[in-house]
Amino acid sequence: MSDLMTLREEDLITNPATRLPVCLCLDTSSSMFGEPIDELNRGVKYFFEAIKQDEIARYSVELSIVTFNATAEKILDFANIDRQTFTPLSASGSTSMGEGVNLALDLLQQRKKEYSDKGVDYYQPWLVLMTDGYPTDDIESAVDRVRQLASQKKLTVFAVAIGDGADINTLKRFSTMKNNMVLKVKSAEYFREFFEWLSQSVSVASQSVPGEKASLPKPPTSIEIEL
Amino acid sequence: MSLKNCIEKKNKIFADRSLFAERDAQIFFFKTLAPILHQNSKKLSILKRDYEDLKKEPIPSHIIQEFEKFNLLEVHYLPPFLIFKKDFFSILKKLNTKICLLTAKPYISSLPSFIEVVLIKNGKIEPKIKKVFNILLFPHKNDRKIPPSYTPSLNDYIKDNKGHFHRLIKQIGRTGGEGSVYLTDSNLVCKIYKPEKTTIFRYHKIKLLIDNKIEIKNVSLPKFLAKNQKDEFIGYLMPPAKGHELKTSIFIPPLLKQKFPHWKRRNLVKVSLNIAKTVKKLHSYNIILGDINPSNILVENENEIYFIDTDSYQIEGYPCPVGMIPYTRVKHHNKRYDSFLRDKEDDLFALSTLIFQILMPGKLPYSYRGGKTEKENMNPANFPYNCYDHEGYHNTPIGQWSYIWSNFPRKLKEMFCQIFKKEKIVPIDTIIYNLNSYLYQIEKGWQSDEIFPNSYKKIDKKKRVILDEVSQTRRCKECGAMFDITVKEEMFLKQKGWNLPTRCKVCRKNKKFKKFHY
Repeated sequence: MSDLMTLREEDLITNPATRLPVCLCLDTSSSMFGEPIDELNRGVKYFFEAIKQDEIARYSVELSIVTFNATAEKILDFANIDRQTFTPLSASGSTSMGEGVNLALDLLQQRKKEYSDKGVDYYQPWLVLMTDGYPTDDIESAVDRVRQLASQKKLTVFAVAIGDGADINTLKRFSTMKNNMVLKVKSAEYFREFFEWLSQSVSVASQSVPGEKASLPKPPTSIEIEL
Repeated sequence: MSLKNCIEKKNKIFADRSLFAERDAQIFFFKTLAPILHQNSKKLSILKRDYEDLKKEPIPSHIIQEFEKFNLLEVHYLPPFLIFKKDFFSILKKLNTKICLLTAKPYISSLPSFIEVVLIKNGKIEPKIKKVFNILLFPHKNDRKIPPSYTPSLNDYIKDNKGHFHRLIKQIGRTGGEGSVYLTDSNLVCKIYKPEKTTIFRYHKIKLLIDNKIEIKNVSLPKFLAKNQKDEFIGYLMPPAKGHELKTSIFIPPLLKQKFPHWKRRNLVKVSLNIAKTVKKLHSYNIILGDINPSNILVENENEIYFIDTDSYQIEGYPCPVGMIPYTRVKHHNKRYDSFLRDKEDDLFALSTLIFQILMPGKLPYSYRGGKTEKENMNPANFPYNCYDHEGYHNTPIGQWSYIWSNFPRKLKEMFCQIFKKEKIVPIDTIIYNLNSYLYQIEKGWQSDEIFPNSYKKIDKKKRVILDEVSQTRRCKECGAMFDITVKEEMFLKQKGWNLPTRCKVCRKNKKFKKFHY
């Protein structure tokens, strides 16, 4: 079968588990250069490993990565996690957050369609938006799309501020959590704890009843919550 | 109380009509009952009206004749005020003497102490009368928290309701939403609730199960109440269970292969059968499972299945407070699980879904091409498999799923169609019957034993199933659809020296049609 069907499709045919698509939308602008980007790389790597460790999440959580600096770029497309290899990110350029979020939404939409086409059930997707600064492009269209999807309960957005320099107000506009909550990772050294929490949350959500709100674990104390 | 004891100690020994109607009734009367009556110089009493009716039937009249011959029978004439009373049991109550009642019918209503019942089934004495729970229509409301003053943890001692102490020696799994589970030094498993989850309903429910001494093989039902040193209710003790959750073994094909590498389809059918039989047993006590789901059932091997998380079971008016959407009938979606009582039909729907998912490893019945989330998909119109009704089933999930469906025996397909497309509830005995016959057919070699057969079922002219495999899948050069070429087709074409088809069946047919008509 494989010669005529791409592996990406085959995974959807052979594994019937209900999927949770998660897109990491990461800021790789020049301000992330140095230690922050290294820590972020380590955090993401840890996130992948943590999901691989969990028997249920491994077969139901699917990840993709979009980065944004001067432009938005698809770093990793959705696939079975065993087939994905994460190549470390590097930082440079401006902060095209609007473009990044739009690309992430496109990817999630596309993946949902693929699930549907193959007859695989899914949970509504998650978007994890992480930034340490202010957007340098127009974010209005992205915000509109997010708000529209969120009002239909078709998307969950975790807005994450890195350090004190991030634009909390913009992040709040994207957040779909209670009271438009924004999570704040104080500095790069706490990425690991954030991703640990995220992987636990993903595991909980991938085992919950679709359509019902999963009660996610409490974020660690090192992560501040901005209301 | 044994039959012998009962006959010895009571003044009157009564038999009702049901006893005579039993299969193997003669064996019981002649081989078991007659000698005991004779030894104790007692007689069997029958009501006058029963006596007359029974004399009209061939087997009972034979039994009566023989008993009369040996002077082991007396006809009981009722006092005039009881003659018009219909109910046998209420007549006995009025007689007011020590009675031993022999019957084949389990009496559910409460018994006065002077009547002892011995239950006879198929000529054999049932060890004890089954206590069956009442089925209620409305749930008890207003559950109340009864948090203990402290919660024991690892290495602490806990006390059971008999006053014995057990030490918590090892935690099993992570602390969940309700509490933690420990292994004890007495080789039992102890579930300890979080203080805020310790409620009066849980206490009553667990006590009901323990008081009625219900024991079903491989169902981890509560055995003892667990208390802390201050005698406060904290949880319960149960026998240990082992195995892999359905969810992380059979329901994820790569894990199925990893955990049960040598399994064939017959093993899956056996697992389904054992689960169905256990549900039947629980139902016979009027215990409703409520939250049947793939995390509550452990598979050690196909004959050793454990049911866990039994404290959520629905008993009498205590609802099962949890559930999962795919295993809940649509009419209960959007309700709070603790706000209503479920019935056996709800369990049967959940069981059917689970069995479907075992036989189609992991695939939910309502997953279809073009579908959305689990909840949105759950609509009878979305059941995507061929139900012999000439309706469209173009949205069957592609590949192996339609092959598996095709390879099911027709009876089984019809059963699933009844359940998922027609929304009918199929009785548990029918489910067990169909699974048994599927197993038989696999063992005879009449149905494929492959978990993932790689082609549709083929039937030859004599209506026998041919086991054929797909050799390759091609894309039709005309319409672009995928189509399969089986091993036998390929061999046939090669023998003839013909090329393999490049178009799908439909396009080939169309082409042929055009050739002849234009």
